[in-house]
Amino acid sequence: MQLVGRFDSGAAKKVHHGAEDMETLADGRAFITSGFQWPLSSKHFKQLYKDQGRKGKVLLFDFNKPESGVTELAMDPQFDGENFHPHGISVLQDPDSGKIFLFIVNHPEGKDTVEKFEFIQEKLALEHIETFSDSTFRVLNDVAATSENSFYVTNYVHSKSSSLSFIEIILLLPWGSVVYYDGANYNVVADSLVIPNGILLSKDKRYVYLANNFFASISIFERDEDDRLTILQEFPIHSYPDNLSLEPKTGNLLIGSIPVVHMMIKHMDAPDVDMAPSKVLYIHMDNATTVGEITDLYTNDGRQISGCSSATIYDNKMLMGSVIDRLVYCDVRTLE
Amino acid sequence: MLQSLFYLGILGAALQYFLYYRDWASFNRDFVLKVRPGKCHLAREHGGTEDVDYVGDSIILASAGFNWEGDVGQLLAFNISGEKTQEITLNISNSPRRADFLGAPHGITTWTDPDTGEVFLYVLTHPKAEDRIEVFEVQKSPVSLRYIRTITDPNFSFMNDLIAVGRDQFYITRYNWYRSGDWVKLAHWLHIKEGTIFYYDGHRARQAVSETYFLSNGISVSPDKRTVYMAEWGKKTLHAYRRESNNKLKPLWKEYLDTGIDNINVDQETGDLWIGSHPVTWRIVDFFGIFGKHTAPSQVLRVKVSDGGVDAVEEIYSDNGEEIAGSTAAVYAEGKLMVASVFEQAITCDVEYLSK
Repeated sequence: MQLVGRFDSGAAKKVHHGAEDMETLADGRAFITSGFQWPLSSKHFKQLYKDQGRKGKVLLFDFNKPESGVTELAMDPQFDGENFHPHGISVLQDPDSGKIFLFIVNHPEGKDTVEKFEFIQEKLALEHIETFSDSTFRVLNDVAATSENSFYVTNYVHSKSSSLSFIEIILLLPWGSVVYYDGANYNVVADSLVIPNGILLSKDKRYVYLANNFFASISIFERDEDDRLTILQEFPIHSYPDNLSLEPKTGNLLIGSIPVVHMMIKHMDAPDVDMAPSKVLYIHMDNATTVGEITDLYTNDGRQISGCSSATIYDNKMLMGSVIDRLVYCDVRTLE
Repeated sequence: MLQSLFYLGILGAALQYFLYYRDWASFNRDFVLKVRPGKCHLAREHGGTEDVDYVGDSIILASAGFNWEGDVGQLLAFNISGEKTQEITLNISNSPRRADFLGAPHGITTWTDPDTGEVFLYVLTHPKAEDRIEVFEVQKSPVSLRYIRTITDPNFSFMNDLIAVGRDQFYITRYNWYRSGDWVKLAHWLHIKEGTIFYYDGHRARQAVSETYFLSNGISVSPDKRTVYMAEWGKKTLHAYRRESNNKLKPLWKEYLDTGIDNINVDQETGDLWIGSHPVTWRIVDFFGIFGKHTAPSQVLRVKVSDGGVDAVEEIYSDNGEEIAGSTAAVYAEGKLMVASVFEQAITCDVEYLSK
């Protein structure tokens, strides 16, 4: 349906300048990346970024204390915060030490990297641990940590400029890939992918879910012993997905997506002029590799949230983030 | 040269028509996402209920058993209070001894006398002989019907739905010129504007608008009875009209909704339109079984309106056809949504949230 109606799931609280990706810990603390910009951003958007005073940040939201809203985490002064443009995020908590590590895709001036931070609760600050960089990194999008020293990361496109990448995307060229860092080496573990976006590990960590941004589908891969990915299936979701998150108790998937993708292209260029519709899909999984039903949990024409890229649920509350627009907090009245 | 241009012109026109048809039939839509307002359960599994109407006290009246042959159907009542909706077969007293009484019941409407509080039910039926509107008085406890009279008119060829605005006074939509079931089925593919709206003043029916429509379907009225709404299902367009003193209808606005809107129920408190609709056209009009086995998906829209037009369109329910197939009508009452389908199920859902 070309007409996208408004469907409101409940009360909402807002934050601007984007909330591209997020991950929530079991205790209800959610980490959100904000201030998105990347090599593919148009000149007009880059100028708008400066004019509107947008900057790269990591935000903290506690589902148990929603009245407190979001807190901007203090950046490690040793780290180049001015050149920090965060994108995909993956959060790990060490079960023994309780330490919390954040792996964040970064688009600084120059080459794309994956940054590792430790979250210091008492100071509400981030301590930078390591920068990961490699020749296999082209234009990065999302990261999924498998341990404190290993992760999967998606290469969205091969072309690093706004104009060339536009051609690559329009032609749907299979120049995307997934790279795995095992603690020592970087290896391309899935190749010839068409514009992969969000990446997520299944609840049992044996499978990897991948959002095929322009194919409006989700791929399920199996991880083998050397962490290489073998495709199991690709299922259509009829909306263009960005990031995925897991509902920890059930293993069901929550996907931020855009139902009418050409409007997203205009919105990414000039968010002050053009809205993009948003859709949050809830995928009931019978098990890690079997899709049950797909429920449309939230749809909006862009007025409440434009270009929704991620969503996470905690205890009947939902947080929805967008690439360069708002962060919205909702009551979830039904998950049918 | 001229001949080539001529053929090129024909080809161009054919291509344009083909594309229009492809979009109208929604051939590119093969999957419908699930949307729910809350938990839903089956109120009726088979037999269908083409139209529903809420009469207060947790009672929803419905026409059941619509078919193309004119075979006798039924009138039902549902009680939506309580966790599970109960289906009540209605006792009809004083009914005429006609073998074809209640043949293929279709659109229904109710009217409450503001002075006496008496409730009247009007049911459009299609026995083989002619279209007839059967009039009943509704008793509430226990719920039952008493037959009063039959209304016919030479203008009633093959009609669809009606809305009462007074005692034995109603607006009624014509669907087709000819009553043959085969013609009606074929007409869904022919796109001829056979439909229009009539006003029955208690004695005879007169055309209320000068326009014609392709498959004019559901019709209803605003709470203040000044604005009439009509679903032109063939063109997926919602029309609004202002009622004039002579009961003619003056077109006010129309809105293309890009989904096959069928019947309309207007919430008497808010003025919102609750519309049962068919989101994928080809899956509901495949009367001749050209496309093999498939189910028709369902959808319920809540449309907020004002004099200026449509303010918001919200999708409250959507299903690929497994829970309910071919939804034709929906009514929201007492915090619940009842969805009816012409040939199969009827369901009731809890509505956990509605936007302001």
